[in-house]
Amino acid sequence: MYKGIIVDDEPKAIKLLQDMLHQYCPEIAITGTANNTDIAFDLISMKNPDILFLDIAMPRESGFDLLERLPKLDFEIIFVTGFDEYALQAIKFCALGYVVKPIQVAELVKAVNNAKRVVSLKDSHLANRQLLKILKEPGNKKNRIGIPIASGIEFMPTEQIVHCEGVKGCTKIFLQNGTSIISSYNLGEFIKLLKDYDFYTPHKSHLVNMDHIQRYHREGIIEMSNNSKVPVSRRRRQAFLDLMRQQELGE
Amino acid sequence: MRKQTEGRSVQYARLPPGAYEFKIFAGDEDGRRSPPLRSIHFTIQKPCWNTWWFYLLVGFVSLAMFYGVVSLRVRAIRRTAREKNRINKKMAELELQALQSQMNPHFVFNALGAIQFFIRNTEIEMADDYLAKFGLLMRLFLESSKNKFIPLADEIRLIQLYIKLEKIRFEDRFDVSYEIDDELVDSYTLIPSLLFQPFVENAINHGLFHKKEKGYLSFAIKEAEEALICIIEDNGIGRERATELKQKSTKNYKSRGTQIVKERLEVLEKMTDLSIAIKTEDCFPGRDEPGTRVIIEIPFLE
Repeated sequence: MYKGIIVDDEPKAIKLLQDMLHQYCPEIAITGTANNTDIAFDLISMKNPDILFLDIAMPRESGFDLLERLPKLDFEIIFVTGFDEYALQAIKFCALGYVVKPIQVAELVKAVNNAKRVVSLKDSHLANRQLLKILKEPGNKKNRIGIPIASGIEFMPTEQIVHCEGVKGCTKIFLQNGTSIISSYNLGEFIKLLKDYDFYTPHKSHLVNMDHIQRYHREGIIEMSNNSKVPVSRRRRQAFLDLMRQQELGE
Repeated sequence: MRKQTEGRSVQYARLPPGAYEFKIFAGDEDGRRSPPLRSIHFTIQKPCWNTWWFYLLVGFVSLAMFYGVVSLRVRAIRRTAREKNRINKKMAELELQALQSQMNPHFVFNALGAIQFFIRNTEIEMADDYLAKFGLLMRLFLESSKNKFIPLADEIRLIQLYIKLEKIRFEDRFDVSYEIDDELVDSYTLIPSLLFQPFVENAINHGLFHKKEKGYLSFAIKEAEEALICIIEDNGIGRERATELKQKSTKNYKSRGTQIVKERLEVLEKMTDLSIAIKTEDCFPGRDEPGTRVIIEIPFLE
């Protein structure tokens, strides 16, 4: 059994989630619910949950504010939100769990299963802290992006990613230290997640870190800092050159 | 042309242009005449306005002036057309944005979440009622966004429906009172569409949402001299704290609802000369939770 806590300002939303968990994830025992962040603070401190179901937009204090106040964040979080593009972007960046309202059963089960798997690894603290940092400093190139790989989640500062290549629905990520990792996310996910971090898509299956571009060859090849070569598609060459010129002027 | 004179001068007035020969004869009282004593040839030029090149010049100048006037006029017409086009485009853009902000995804998905709750909780009638109301509200939003002006009665219906749905969602965390001049509503008064709702939404989601105790919202429509007055009041936490909270929770958060209204009214004023005044103030200045009062004044349309 896993201990769960639900925090949401709408009692209706709490009851709904409780019902759904009871029916579809019976291995989660809800040990407490809170409809404001003050109660939630005490409840979490007392009960040491494995999984926290947390609403983001709440009166006076958001879900993120609550996390900020808590001394220990050693539990898995599944965010439950109506609509919050900005927050979802940060949550996905850290590879944390979330479900959107109205809640889809399949999504909920998936998020819970994921959380259960990670609880045993005992490193939730890191990812949760990471999220708070990203919310404070979006776009900081030292921010670590959570990359789901076969054995778990790898956290990598965006500045260490040289370039990414989409391969059969997965993504191969080339790192500064010469190694590479393969993620089950497709390239499109990375394009969205890294859009505030000076990445560019020169080709439909390539994403490059602008800071790692070494030189550009006239025939449409970018040479990266790790000496690998990335093609620029014919139609994007002009736009790419314009962007490079703009960056030079900016610096 | 012969002229006799005893003096030493002779005058010919108004000689038409042409070539002339001037001859002088001497004569005595008996009419005898000497042979010409002297002969002088001279020409009188045509006056300059009578010459062919002058006509040509005048013709050319008047043609040029005509062309100039026409092209200036054409340019002016084009410019007004372009300006009108630009304003129309801006208006269309703002209308779309207004609709988007009304169909606030947060509101939509939370409403759907509430319906999901009623269904799972087998409160069939509540689910049914909520769903029908939600559907109607979406229809009203869409309809009103198609027109620049809508009847006051329609806007009030929309507002009441919107508040009802928010009240269900907020589980009666606030009370609402209406003070509406029925005569005004019955008289088919037209007002700009999508005007009141963003302010009501602000009152609920930013003012009352963060309030600990039960809040209160008031919506009034009155007639003043030559104008319709709408007053939206809440006893929520006030604008200052609401902004603070918003900025604290999410850095890039933007609520553009009321900003869009203001921009739309500016464009509308350019198009129709209708000037709408919006005033925002604290309901209880100095209090910890000062609330917010929005006063919208709309001159009556012809």
